[in-house]
Amino acid sequence: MNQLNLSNHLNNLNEQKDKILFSFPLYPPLELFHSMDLTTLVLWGLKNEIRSTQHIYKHIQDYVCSIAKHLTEFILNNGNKIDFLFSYNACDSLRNLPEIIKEGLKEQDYHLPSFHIHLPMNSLDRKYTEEYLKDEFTHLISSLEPFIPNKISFKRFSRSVELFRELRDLKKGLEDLIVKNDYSYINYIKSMEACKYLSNENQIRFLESKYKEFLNKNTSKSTNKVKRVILSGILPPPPKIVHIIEESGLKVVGNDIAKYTRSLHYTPPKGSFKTIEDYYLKFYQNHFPCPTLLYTTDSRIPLLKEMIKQKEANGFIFIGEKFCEYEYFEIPILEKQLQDENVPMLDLEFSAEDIKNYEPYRTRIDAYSEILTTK
Amino acid sequence: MSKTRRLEKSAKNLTKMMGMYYTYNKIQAKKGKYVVWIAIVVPIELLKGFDLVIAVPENHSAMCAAKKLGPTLAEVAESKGYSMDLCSYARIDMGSMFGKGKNSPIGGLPKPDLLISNTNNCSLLSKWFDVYHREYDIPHFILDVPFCYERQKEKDLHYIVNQYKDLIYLIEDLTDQKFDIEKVKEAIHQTNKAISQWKRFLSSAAHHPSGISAFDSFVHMAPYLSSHRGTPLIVNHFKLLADETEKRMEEGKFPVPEEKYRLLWDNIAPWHQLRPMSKKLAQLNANIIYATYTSCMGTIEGKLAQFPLDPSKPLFSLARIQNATVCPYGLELRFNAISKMIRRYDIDGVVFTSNFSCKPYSLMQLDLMRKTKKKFPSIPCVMINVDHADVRKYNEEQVFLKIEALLEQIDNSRQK
Ligand code: SF4
Ligand code: SF4
Repeated sequence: MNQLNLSNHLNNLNEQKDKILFSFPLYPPLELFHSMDLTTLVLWGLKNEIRSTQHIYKHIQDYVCSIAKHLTEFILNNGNKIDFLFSYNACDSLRNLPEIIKEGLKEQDYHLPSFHIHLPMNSLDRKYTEEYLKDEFTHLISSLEPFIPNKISFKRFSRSVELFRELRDLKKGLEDLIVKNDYSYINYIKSMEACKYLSNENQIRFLESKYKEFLNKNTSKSTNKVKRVILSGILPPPPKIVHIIEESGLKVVGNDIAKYTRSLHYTPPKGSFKTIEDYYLKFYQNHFPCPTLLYTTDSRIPLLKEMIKQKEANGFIFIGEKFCEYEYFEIPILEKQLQDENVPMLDLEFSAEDIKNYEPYRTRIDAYSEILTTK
Repeated sequence: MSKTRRLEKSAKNLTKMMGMYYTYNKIQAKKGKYVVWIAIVVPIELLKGFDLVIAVPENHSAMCAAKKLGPTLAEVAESKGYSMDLCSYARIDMGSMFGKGKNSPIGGLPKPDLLISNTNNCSLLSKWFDVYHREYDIPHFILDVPFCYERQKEKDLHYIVNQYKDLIYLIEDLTDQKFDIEKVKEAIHQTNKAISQWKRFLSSAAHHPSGISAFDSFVHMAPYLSSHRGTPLIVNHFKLLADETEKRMEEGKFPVPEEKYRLLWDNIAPWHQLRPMSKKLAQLNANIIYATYTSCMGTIEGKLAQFPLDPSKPLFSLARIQNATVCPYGLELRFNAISKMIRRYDIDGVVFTSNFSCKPYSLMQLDLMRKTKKKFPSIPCVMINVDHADVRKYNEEQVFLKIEALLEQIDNSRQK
């Protein structure tokens, strides 16, 4: 399937009279919105969807990450096509954006109902923090309910959860299959991106067909000489970078990318929750550690080390999102700890500006590959 | 500008107090007293319920920057892999920590036993403190404060109070000390007195010419953001400051006697430029008379007046004010605050300082500026680029070109 342009996709959804919710990254309650019949689009990395920057620099300064810049531009260009906006306290930049976007839309005489929750960040295992989080969800549900035709029910919600579980499992399974059979990792990234705007049901169909396709292909087994690396960051790298990584003799065997593994990792097991609120408490309590979830600090590095061990990785490539403090505060510590385990790290940085020249990246990746192979 | 050293007695007292604070901390830490590093918005009054050494890394970084040591220290952190895009407060203090106090004017802060950060200024602070948490292998308590886009919610207030209780249990557990609420009440009482003196000092800006410059307020806020808060020492200091200011005004002495332009500053102080910037402005007969940054102290949600803490409800009072101190609240609240400041202090122009280091403070400024221009069409505004503690990211020429253009606009708007 060809990648669908988000603006066109929005037009189609508008024609179908879908109720559209735009959500800020990183980890919104997708199951809940799905069970409310809202078509949710999480605004990660919209670089390819932006044709101008007329709104960005009118509202936000230059020293902000590309995700924040592009989502601002996109919403301010498409406010009339969206029904709702959702955000939570994912990071300092995203914290200020709802009001900035509101101002921008006000200039266009447009009011977009927006919803926000505060996700507790100190620890999720204290009674009062649990209550706080649950209450945020009760409040979110009651604020959204007047806007949706059907009253939210636990039964509908549970069905949505199962759909998401299936989808997440499929995505994880596809990655495993691609890695196990020595296919280029670009296949995984391309598959993930190709289906990102489809409905859950269509994503499942698409991924199942991809799964079959890769299952039936003839494969060559990996040679022992190939060095294995894990990709980490908020967004996946451009396919061209993966291509360069592979050309340099490295094999991508897994990812710690916020948009992929960190988002897909955990769905509370069936029967482990009795209410929607309860589900989300478990969901965030057991979430894959991420530098933006402040309460996961202590579990993050041990889990990454475990991942490296499991995937038998020799290297770790950080795909840095320029101006993302969360990731950049952690990288030096992680690098040091991985070095102690004899796993060198390569740090690549990407910004909002288009990458016109990949050669400097190639030079660094080749040098890194050499380090890994001579190690 | 007057040749006499401004606010001489207060300046001397300030030096004495800050010297005392750093020396006392070192001595007590050496004696084995429990050391806590906190973020500036963590309520020091609450910690007065214990016998602790309290150190504030942000304060330390500001001092290093003011003494022109910012880049030297930041480079140490940068050489360890910390990006130059990270907040300069963090890079400076981490540089001091990695260098074991080398190049810090006070030889660095005493090694901590516990870290307490908060998320209402920024979450970056928690990430920064996590570096120490991992480096020293000591506990890190994150005081999680929901951001105020509007008036603080009742449930948020209770949420903060519950965290305070947790923090108290944690410190009791770690130190074997018994928390003394009476000492907290006393500290709150002292803070109330101190803030009313601070407000008296700030209100001297209403006079024409202004009795103060915002640079005075930047410098003298330091002891409030240290363990002096909640003690009679800070009350005395702020009283001395307000008295001395008023006395000088009675004597006809003003920071910019021929004051022609009364400006408002929005953002953190440019620590490395306090003297050169105020001097250069004075030569232009311009004075930054007031700042959102120092006005927040002791207030809530963009109000200018003091929010009196209730000593009989210490935890709730402190939680109610948790979102204050350095403007960590939403755009509407900040806009209301700026509007009031413009009116009350008869402001001629606003300097929005876009701060490379501080996204939480800076990110909404373009909209704030637009709203301000719309509401006050005769008050010109300008946006300048500064990094509050990293002079390498500051360009004096560009900044003053913009400020001079602002002054010209003020002249033009007066002629209309
Ligand atoms: S990349 Fe970092 S700074 Fe940007 S939106 Fe994501 S978490 Fe926030
Ligand atoms: S200066 Fe800004 S970014 Fe830095 S610690 Fe303070 S609030 Fe956070």
